Formats: sequence, structure tokens, C-alpha cells
Amino acid sequence: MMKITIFLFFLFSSSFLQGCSEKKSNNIAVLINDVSNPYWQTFYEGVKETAGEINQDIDIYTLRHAMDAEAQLNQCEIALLKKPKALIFAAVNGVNLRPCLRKANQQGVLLVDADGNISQALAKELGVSVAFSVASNNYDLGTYAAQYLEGRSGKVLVLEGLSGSQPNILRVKGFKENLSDSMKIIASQPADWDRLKASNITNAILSAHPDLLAIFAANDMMALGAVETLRAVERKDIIVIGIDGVADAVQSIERDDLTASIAQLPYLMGREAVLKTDKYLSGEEIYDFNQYVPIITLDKEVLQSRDNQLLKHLR
Amino acid sequence: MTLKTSTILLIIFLAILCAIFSTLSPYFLNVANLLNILVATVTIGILAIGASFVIGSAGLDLSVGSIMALSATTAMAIATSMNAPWFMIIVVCLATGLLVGAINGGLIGFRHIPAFIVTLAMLSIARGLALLISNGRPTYGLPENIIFIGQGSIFGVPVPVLIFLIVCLFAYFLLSHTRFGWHTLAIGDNEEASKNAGIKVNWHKVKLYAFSGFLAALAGLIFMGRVNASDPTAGTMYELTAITAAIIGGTSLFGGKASVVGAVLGALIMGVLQNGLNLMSVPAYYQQLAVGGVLILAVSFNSFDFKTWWHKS
Amino acid sequence: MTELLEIQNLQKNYRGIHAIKDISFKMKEASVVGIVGGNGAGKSTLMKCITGAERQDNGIVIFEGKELTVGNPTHSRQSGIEMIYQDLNLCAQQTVLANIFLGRETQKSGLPILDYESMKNKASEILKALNSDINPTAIVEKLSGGQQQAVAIARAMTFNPKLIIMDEPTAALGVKEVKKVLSLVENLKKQRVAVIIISHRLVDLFETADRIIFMKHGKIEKDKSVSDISLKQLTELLVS
Repeated sequence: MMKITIFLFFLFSSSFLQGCSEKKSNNIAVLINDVSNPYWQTFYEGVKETAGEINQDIDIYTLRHAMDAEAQLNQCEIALLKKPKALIFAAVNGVNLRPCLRKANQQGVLLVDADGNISQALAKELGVSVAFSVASNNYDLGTYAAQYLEGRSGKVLVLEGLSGSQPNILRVKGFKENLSDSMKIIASQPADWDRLKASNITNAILSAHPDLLAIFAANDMMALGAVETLRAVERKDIIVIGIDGVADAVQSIERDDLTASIAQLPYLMGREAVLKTDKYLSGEEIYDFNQYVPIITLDKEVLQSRDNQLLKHLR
Repeated sequence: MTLKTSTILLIIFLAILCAIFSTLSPYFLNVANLLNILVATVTIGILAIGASFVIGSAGLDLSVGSIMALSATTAMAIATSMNAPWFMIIVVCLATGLLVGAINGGLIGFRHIPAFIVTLAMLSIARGLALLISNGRPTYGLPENIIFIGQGSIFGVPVPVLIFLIVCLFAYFLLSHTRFGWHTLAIGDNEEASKNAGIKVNWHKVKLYAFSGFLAALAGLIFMGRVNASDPTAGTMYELTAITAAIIGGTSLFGGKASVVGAVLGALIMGVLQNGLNLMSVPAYYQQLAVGGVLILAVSFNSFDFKTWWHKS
Repeated sequence: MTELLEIQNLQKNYRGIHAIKDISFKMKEASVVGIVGGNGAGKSTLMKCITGAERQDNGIVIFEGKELTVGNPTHSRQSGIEMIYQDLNLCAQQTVLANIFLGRETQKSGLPILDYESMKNKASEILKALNSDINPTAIVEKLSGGQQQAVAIARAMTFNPKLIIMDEPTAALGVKEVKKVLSLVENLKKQRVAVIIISHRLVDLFETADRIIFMKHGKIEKDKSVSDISLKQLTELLVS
């Protein structure tokens, strides 16, 4: 009796697994980071739903732990075995996929960067040829933040991310170069993307400059850290602008704490990556390496009016 | 060498797993894919061997994943700041692992703090140091010789696999043919008796955890070569996968029993599972479920009394 | 016959409490001495002072005419004194031979490699000498209680001891197993090894011991040859 049960168990389990086996031709493989991060979850949905719309067979690989560089490399090798026509990758860091991407080049697989972890210059340095990159324009994210302050005059504090990080450099550059002359940057300090550090810096600067008008943070986390400090010292009059448009930031804007966030749209990023790769595969040419995904300035007014078309991509 | 029943059962389990995946995916039995599985198993396999020694002594080392990252980042930091030659990266990397492991062992053996607590603390400390040293970012651009360790191959066999093979043979020999191996299991079995028999238990623990740290550093070195970067987040949660592999391999959590062959088979089972599920594009969350399920299945399969069952039914 | 062990005025206090007070006795080669006494009589403390596991406060232990270093287990062991603890101190999941050679494994000459064959041969030899048919490669936890006792004795015998101290060797055994262990002790005597047995099973002592020492409150109350005392008298002593 026991023997039969076990036999049936294996029969059942293998037929069950057969049911969720892969489809025949996998034209596009997509490597994504850890989807417990809402940013990547939204990106994932963008990829998956778009692939369904255009009837493209897609293999999506997600990570079990955030930033697991080795697991992603293993997934990349597995993806190549199935000989896809294109590989879209959101690398966990700039270099972990190098050996696999080189192999992909040899196999003639089209490589598409998503999220801008591999810039044109870095690709060249790694000896990898990437067709194009679908990402937010970090310089523009900074520019939009600067434009939000147009027509005002006063002191502004800049909270930078981890020094050396490419997105940070571009965001801060975009902000500083497009800030109107009436605004004066009194300090620009790295808070390393960290909420607590941002909060502490804000506190210190505020005691030296009580007449501060605005704070620009290179991501939402640091902006929310600044908001914490301002709430504690009851200085809600100070304008705080962050970048990314994460759910916490949106809630904070709705509560009237955070003033604005320049949002990236990961859903749209996933969608564009698939659509553009599909077009490229069907012969359409894409000239620019950098294929920028639209970004959007979120503040209370925009959120309430709901008339911006891009808002539907916000999750 | 005679094969133990538990080893045969593990091989059968692995074969069943492979059979299922090969019917589900035409790519599974591809030579390139089988090599992929081997290469992907190396880091976890090396850590699992260390885990089987430590757990065999009724201890635990939760810090190996962090030691991997710390060894690699320390070696890289020294190499870049002092412009040291490539082999210094290897020396510093392995020495760091050895030292951190010895500190673990010293605290456990001489201060008598439970291994769980010491290595849990070290998990945090080593990771923190790795992040501090590297400023939280991966450093890339390694010398070609280090990249060779992770990506090269000799006569078609990937270098990581060759290193793994050497480690396996060495560890097998160490466990069954040296005093170190016998004393490890004796301590895990009955620490009081080992002490009474004249074994210097506290020193043995220093050596044991240093060995575990050394293996972690070696895994870190291979990791570094594979991804061409010293990554401070490398090896996060690897300790748990390694312990899982060791336990699947028949190492007793209560100590006294360990098997190098078992640990390697356990790591291979984990590797095959990961590979097969990825081939079938199973989302990460379901993979988590599968890993837990296989642990339970493999352990109950392994402890299953086959002979009695066969005669009864 | 010459004196093997001589104890002179041994004293040991634990935080002001006298565990043993002024104990002296002598013991001959290849003789078997039984030690009886209630809880707290000082039997274990006395043994620990002989094996060096405890340092006595006063008195000396002379073994084969030489004074033993106080509180040095290695010296006692090298001099030829082995102790078998009540719980046997075996590693249950390891093989018989791993237990026999525990901590003193034979290595191939000049190499840090175990000499498995030579250990196995020697283990077989010793077990055979003890009239035991245990396979040296068997796992200890699969053996019976009496067989495990034999393994512990074999371990003690491996390095040619002159004296083996056994703490309650028959306490946890069935009748059949007790017989086997007692015959093991007989065997030791034939191999010219002296034995001290601590036991509360007086019947067993009467079967093997030449002499019985009765201890109470850290002192020797009675020290008699078995022919000079009856089981009944001894039982009365213990109960009183």
C-alpha cells in the first residue's frame, strides 16, 4: 500500500510540475532584482502585463534576496541556455553580470539595460556591447526638482546620496545647474541615502540657518528623514523635495508633510523596456543609447487633480 | 570505501530530482547547464562542508556569509590602497577569514559563550565591517588572475569546480583520517568525555571555527572572481543555505555525526533545485517554498528506514 | 607481593566541609578492592584525588613507590592509573575503536594521518583479551549496556594500566550483563591489573573483590578481607 502511495505521489508531483512548465520559444529574458522591493515589484508588473499585451513570450527571473549578485549571475547563465533573442537586465550592481553578458554578445543576444546600472561608458569598460538603456534620466530628476523652486528666493539645503554613486552625482548636478539665481545653496552634504543621517544633518543646518526656505534630497528616504526633523521642530513651512515617488513619499505628500517628489515610473520603465526591445527585434532602429522613461513631479495638487496621464503608471 | 545507506538514498533523491527536471525542461540535461549547476553549487558547497564540520561538533557558524564579504572587501581594500600584487589579494582574503573564524572559536572555546550567540554577533559585525571598508559599494576591476579563479577553466573544467573538488577531497580526508576530524565528532558527541580523554577542547574549537572561516573566505574569493567585484553584500543569507545543505546531507544538528559526501550531495540538491526552478521560470517566491519543502522531504527521505519498510509492505 | 598504591593521610575540604578526613590505605598489585558507603561518604572525592582530577588539601598518593603530582590527571594517567566513570564517558555515535583510542589515536609514523589498521588490530586484540566479541568498527550506541562497559574497560586497558578505578560499573545493568562485567573484572585480575570498584551492589562486590572498604562521613569505618566479613554484616553497616 505504502509503495503505491509513494509512486502516486511522484506521478502526481511530476504531472503537476509539467503543468507549470515553460512555453516553447522564449524570445526575451528579463533579469530583475528582489521583488519584495515595491520599486521592482512595480517594474515586474510593467514587464509582465506589457508582454501579455503584445503576445511576447517572456522569461522573468527575480531574486530571492536583495542584491544577490551571484544568484543573478547564475540566472543569467540559465537564461542564455534557452537562447533568447534579447536579454533585458536590471543588474544588482554594475559588474556582476560581466562574464554572462560577454557570452551573450558572442551568442548574438541583444542586450538591453534597464534602470541604468550599466552606462554606455561602463559597458565599454567591461567590454560588453549593450544596445540601449531604458532608465529615468537622473539629471532630469534633479532639474525637475530645481524647476519646482522657480520663482522663489531663499536658502536651500542639498542632501546628497552616497558619494560616488552615479545616480546621485547626476541628480545633484541637474539640481544645481538648473537652480534659479535667486536661490542660494547654503550646504550640500552627503547623507548616504540614509533617513537618520538626513534627519541629523537637517537638524544641524536648521539651527545655523533658521531662515531656510527649502531642502532638496536626492532620494525620498532622505527627504522623509528631513521631514521628521521639521515636524519635531514645528517648521512645516519649509519646502522639502525628494526623488523617486515611493509609496511612503506619496502618503507623506497627502499628509502635507513632504512638499513634492520627482517620481520615477518603474511600471513604465518595465513597459518601455519590453516594447522597445520588441520593436528593435522586429527591425526598427533605436539610435540613442539612453532611452529615457518619462518622470513626473508629484505634489498635493497633482495628486488631487488626477489629470496627468502619467499618474496611471504610479503604483 | 563503502557507501552508507544514507548516502545512497541521497543519490537516489538527487537522481529523482534530476529526472523530474529533465522531463520538464529540455535544457536541463544540456552539458552547459550541468556545468552551470556545478559552478553555481561551488560557493554553497564549500560553506556546507564547513557547516558539516562545525555542526558535527555540536556547534554552529552563522557568520560564514558575512565572513565571505568581509574577506573579499578587506583583500580588495588592501590591494587597491597599497597597489599589492594579485596573490596578496588571495593571501589577505584567506587570512582574514582564518582570523575572524579564530576569534569566533576563541570566544566559544575559552570564554564559553554559546556558538549561536558568538557567530550571530559576528554575522552582524563582519557584515558591518565589510560595508564600512567598502563604503557600501562593490569595488570592481580585479586583476585577471583573480577573475581566472572565478571564471577561468582548465581543460574545459571551470576553475571553481576544480577548487571545489580539491576542497572536497581534503575535507573528506580531514574528517575521516585525521585526529582533527575524529576529535571534532567526538566533541560533538560527548564534550565531557572528550575533555576527560585529554582532548584540548577549547583549542580544538579555535581551530575548528578558523577552518570554517577559512572556507568562507575561499568561497568569498571564488565569488569575487565570478562577479569580478568585491561586494560587501556578498553571501547574504548564504549561511542558512549552507546549513540546509549540510543537514540534508545527514549532519546531525545535535553533533557527533557529519559527512562531507553528504554535505556535497546536499549542496548539489540545492543547486539542482535552484537551477531547475529557474529554468522553468518559477518566480522567486515559489522557489522559497520549494527549498523549504525539499529540506523536509530530503531529511525525512534520508532518515527513512528503507529495509524495514521493504520487508513490511 | 609489593604494594601498588599507598595513600597517606589524605584530606580534602570543600568550602569548609570535610569531604574526606585523614584517609590512609594500601593496595597490592593485581588485587581487587571494593569501596562501599552511602551518599556523601567521600568515595568519589577519594577517587578524584587518586586520578588527579581533584587536588587534595593534605596527604600524598604513592603509586609504585613514587609520589604522584597533586592534581595532575596526565601524570596519574601516565603512571598507569585509569578511571572508568559511571556514565562511561563514551561517544555514543562513534565507533568502538574511535572510543578506545579517543584522545590517543595512533598516527602513521611521522605523518598527521591516522593509522586505522593498526588501531583496529590493537582494539581487536584488547577486546579478545577481555573475552569480548565486540566488532571494533561497531557504533557504540548500538551495543548493550554490558558491551559498552566492555568498551570503556578496553579503553582503560589500551595503554597498559596498573590500576583501573571503576565507578558503579554494574549500576545500570541487567542480571546477565552484570555477570559479563564481573567476568571482565576477573579477566583484568588475570592480566595482573589491580581494580578499585565503587559500588552499592554489595553482592557484586562479594563476587569479585578481595577486600572491602566501608566509608562513612569521609572516613574509613571498616577495612576487611571478604573472608572476614559477611554480606549480612556489611548490609547492616550500610543501613545503620
